[in-house]
Amino acid sequence: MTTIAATGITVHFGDRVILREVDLAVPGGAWLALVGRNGCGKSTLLRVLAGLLTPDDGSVSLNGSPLRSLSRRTIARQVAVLPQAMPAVPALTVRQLVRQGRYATRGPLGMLAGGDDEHVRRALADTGVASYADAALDRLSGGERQRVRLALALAQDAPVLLLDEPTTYLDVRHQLEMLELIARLREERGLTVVTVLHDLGQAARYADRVIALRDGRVYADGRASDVVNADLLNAVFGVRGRVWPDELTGRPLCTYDAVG
Amino acid sequence: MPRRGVWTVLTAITAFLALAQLMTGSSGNGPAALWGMLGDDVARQIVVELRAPRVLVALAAGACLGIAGCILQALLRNPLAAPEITGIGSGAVLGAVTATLLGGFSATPHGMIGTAIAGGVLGGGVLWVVAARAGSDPLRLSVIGVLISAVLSGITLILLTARPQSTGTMAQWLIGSLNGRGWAHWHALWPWLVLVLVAGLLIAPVLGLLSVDDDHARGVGLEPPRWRSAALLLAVVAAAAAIATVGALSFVGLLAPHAGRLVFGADHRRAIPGSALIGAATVCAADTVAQQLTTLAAAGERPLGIPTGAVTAIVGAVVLIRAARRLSTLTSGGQS
Amino acid sequence: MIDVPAVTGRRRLAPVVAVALSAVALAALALCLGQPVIAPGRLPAVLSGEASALERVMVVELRAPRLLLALFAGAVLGAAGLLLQESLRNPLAVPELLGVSSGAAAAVALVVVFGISVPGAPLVPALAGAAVGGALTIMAVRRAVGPAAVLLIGAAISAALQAVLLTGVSLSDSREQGVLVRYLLGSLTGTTWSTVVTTVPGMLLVLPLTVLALPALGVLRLGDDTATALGLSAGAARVAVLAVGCLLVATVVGPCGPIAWVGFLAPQLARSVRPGAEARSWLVWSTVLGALLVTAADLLARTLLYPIELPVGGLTALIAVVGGVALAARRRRFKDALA
Repeated sequence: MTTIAATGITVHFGDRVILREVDLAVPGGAWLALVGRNGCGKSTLLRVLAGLLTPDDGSVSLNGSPLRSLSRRTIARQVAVLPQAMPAVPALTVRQLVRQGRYATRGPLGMLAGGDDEHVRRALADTGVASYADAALDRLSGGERQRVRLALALAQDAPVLLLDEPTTYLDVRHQLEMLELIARLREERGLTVVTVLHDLGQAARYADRVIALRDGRVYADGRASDVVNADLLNAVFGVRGRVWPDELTGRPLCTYDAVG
Repeated sequence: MPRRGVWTVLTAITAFLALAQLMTGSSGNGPAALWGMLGDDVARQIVVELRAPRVLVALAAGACLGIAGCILQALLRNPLAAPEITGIGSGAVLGAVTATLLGGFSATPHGMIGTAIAGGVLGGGVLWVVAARAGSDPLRLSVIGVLISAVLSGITLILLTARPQSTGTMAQWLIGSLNGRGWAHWHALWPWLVLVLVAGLLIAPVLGLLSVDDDHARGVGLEPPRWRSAALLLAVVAAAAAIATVGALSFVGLLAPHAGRLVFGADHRRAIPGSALIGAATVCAADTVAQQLTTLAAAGERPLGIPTGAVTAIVGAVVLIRAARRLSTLTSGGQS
Repeated sequence: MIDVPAVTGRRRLAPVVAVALSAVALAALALCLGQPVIAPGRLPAVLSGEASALERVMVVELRAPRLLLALFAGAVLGAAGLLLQESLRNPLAVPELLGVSSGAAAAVALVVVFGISVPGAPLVPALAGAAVGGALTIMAVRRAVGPAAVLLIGAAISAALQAVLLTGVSLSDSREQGVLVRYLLGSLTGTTWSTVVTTVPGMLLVLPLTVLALPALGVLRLGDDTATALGLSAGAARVAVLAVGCLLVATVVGPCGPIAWVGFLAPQLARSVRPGAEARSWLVWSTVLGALLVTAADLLARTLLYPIELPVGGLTALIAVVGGVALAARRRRFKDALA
């Protein structure tokens, strides 16, 4: 199983410190959720794990080899990332986009032929976007677009999937759809998943492990039922609230009562 | 630093640079040379008739360009807006070059300011018309401005080929030069400087509102289109007056307002005179450097006159590259 | 769900036929028009040597090489424009704003004004200048992030080099200005077979490199983060594509001067011919349309105000910018589709 391990990660932009000496191990097959307030460094940590950002200090290793010794293509064959945003590409169709996921495996010369293959078809089918594969991306709804972007990451056929706020800008139904889809794919393909999530409730509901960041440090790290409690709400999110176990799933449920 | 202190320091720097420019010239450099020249009747004529107006023109042109850039950056909500990338600058150059080709009254300092304003209005007008149809998205506007500039410069260059023998003189317009600027130029230019400075100060509070967004401006009872066209016209006049007198000195209109905002913040009542002062100082310094280079190069057989615009363009490019790098590292690191 | 109108065979074929026909028509016009005008019907006779010596010289020795150079220069500029625009994700990423054209021009100006004797002038200094201008841009953008910064830095370097050129022009005497004006505005005046022989092989050598850049373009257009996530080092790839672009432009600016803004319009036209396609298809169209554009503009430059010959670069600047803006204005504005 593919594992990622980060040790002593420190990142600063100018004189603002975003992450201070964060250690994090992502064991193969796990679903980790990174949670915390805006600006706590959770997206930055995800970008560091993905190798999109080189930390000022500390190192990340992928299956035991340091990330910076690996080529971009080697990393991309192991780790697929869904960045928070992607620029608008006029008239690009779903299929044209998802095809680009094959770059890491096929390489520049292999891509000259186009890149359509079994993995692209499977990614389109698994995310349920095959029926509009030839539609232009800018004509899709927010929920459809997010599924297409997930298809792009799946087409990389990498065992690790890193998702930066996959549910932002989606309504409740589409948020649920997205998370259920990730859960199902993880089951079917045996993926290791790391997500940045805004909603603590969703993190507690889906992830095996919740990692709460505060001021660039790991405040709490563990199983949702062990970690998510009223103290965490107060310390990490700055709100007063109540937490109790869900009768149906046994996972923690949260309500937020007041700014604390 | 207290606000008054900033003004004192800036004024002192500008005065110093103007003095340095006064001490520079082919008939002798440095304070001692200037002192000596003032003591001699013939040499004093050089100072009074050649150097003094040149310094004044440099100050006034720089101030005009600074004001024009400051207004444009607020108006287009784009820190990279400047006369040379909105079509206004190249329109004014086209006007000035046409005037030179036509000769007669249009080729006098007054006439050239008139034709340059006409050209600038043409460039700014095209920007205005296209912008009205394209919406007021700032990035889009600057793209349109670059393209208008390209067309107008194309026309200017085609005109140039109509009179190949004067290509050298024309090139001075395209790049901007203070060579041979005298009292006639100063007399033609200063009323315009006074006009744009006063009008700029009057319009400053409105600019502040326009630079935020249209809805906000409407919310406090302003009619954005009317004020915007007035402000645009003011910027055209400021830029065209300077360009008709000294040619298209590039980067002054971009960098002076930048520095002005850095020192004085976004308050346009201060940023406009501040940009004017910084623009004036910049052109003085650039012309001093250009003249020194000319003296250095004159050792050869060829009477080289390095145009002032060469200095502003090259120094400006270096500054802009540094700014762009800093800007891009800042924005790329903005996520968390 | 979304209905995508199926592109019918006729709609796919129409532009191909139109372009082929206009290519033939343009080539015939370029050979026939001028002084003296030669009837198109007589072309076969002239080419096979059964006409008067004057007609033969006009067509075979003067117009044919000029037509060839126009076609190749346009093709190279079209390809270069597409490469630059796609790799920087910006329709304004054109040679004129990346220091390449003005680098070449400035180098020639310096050589001419200071009377430096260089073998192969003005071709060799122009190539060197284009390389230096492009290299300056590439070096300056190395640590900068994002296409907007790259473009801005390129524009700044262009402006500085243009200033060097204009300084050169303002210092030059009237004899030298003849040479320098070509580098202010590109021109195909005075093209002979020997020009073609010395320049076209270089263009043919560099053009295939564009094909190698295609896969990187497909990934780069998705944004730096996504490109990196997909396994492409965005910065390094962009530098490589820019280098190819510089090389292409240098082969044109050397002999012809900056034939301005062809690299702006041709890719835009290509995109509007095949809106839903990818870089592969656009590269072909942009190359072909660039060739036609320069040929048409040169025809106009030669005949419009005969006997005065206009600089073709001035005409292309007018045509390409106005045309490009018209195309861009028709296209609807794309919101941040995937944000």
